[in-house]
Amino acid sequence: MNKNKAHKPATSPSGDLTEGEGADRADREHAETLVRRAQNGDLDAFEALYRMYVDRVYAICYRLTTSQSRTEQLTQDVFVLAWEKLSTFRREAAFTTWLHRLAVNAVLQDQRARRRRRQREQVTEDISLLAGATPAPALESRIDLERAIAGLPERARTVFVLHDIEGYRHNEIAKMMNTSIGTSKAQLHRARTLLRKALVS
Amino acid sequence: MTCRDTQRLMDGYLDGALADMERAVLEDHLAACSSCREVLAQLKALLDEAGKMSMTKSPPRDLWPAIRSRIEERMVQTADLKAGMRRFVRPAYSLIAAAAVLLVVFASVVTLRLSRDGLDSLEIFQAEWSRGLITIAAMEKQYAGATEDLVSSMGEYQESLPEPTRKVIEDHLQMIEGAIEDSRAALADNPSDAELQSMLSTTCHQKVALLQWTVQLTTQY
Repeated sequence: MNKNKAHKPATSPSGDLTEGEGADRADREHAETLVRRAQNGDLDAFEALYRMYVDRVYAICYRLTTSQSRTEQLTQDVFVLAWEKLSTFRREAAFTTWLHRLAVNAVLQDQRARRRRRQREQVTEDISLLAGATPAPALESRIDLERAIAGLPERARTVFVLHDIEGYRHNEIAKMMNTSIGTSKAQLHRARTLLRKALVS
Repeated sequence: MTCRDTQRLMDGYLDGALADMERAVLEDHLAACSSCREVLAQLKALLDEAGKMSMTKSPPRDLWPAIRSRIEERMVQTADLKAGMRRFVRPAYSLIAAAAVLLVVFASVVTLRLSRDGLDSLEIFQAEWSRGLITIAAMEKQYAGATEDLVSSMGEYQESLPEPTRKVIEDHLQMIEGAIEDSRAALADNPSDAELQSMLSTTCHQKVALLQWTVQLTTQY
């Protein structure tokens, strides 16, 4: 992920959920112990990991989907998947980074499935800026920004969240979204332009 | 450089991704263009705001009970499946051993009705599925078609097999079909689960392989 961006998100762009900045060494060691126990089938240890990281997983799923019910379902899916794939987790990477990537992939996979369904129903996916039920809000607060992001077209929103909030690089985003770096850059430009216009409207 | 060109470069400028030359040209334009300076200031404000957004959000309710229940359900299913596969694999070895003896005995007169080609072509579909070129449903359809062909090829010849052999084959088929049904049911709840898809693919393949072998066996009676 992007470690050298000129404009960095306020939190760690490494993708670590909390380890990157907030958690100290003792917390990381505690998490590693829990991961080892969970890998040996200890469901209580896995529950402790869930409690540590659910807010972070929920936040990324929510920003990418903008739907509470889908976010709840996806958050559940991510932790069930994490349990099933724990044996494949190697400690070269932080558990939080691994879990974060699982969450992003789960959301992207869900988006692709939904997109295919929509295509079958011949509904155009490319909605216009902030074309939700509510009119574009003035960006006077972070809540307004959340709302404006939620109103972006899906792909633009996804790239904006991954790049400008989560700190992924374009090459990482392109790989995760099965698209090109150029498309990722174009969608980011689109998202920023739309949000900027909403900001000044 | 036009305002439009400048604004296209602003993403790279803000992300520190412009080459020196591009940055110098853009900065020259900015020095002379107040409207582009304003756009840049707005973008910077937007990104500053985005950078301050919280990275955490609590779910409105505790999701753990549902997660735990799903995990425990999977653990039971996995244990059942493993037990089922163990039951299948052991008798399958004895069946294959018996088949080997039969094939050696009748080698001179056997004309195999179906060659390995049928299974090979299915493996092509399997490879296409694993590369994401076709859906699991499309691949399953191919297996269903092959199964139908094989059952139809067997026809009444299956009756010619010795009763104990037929019984073993039927038991194995039943177990495989059970595994296929379980995989389908689990997939209905979680259609994108790669491991469940893989399990369905594997069990479909086993069914075709067993049917194909049975067809070959019927030609010897």
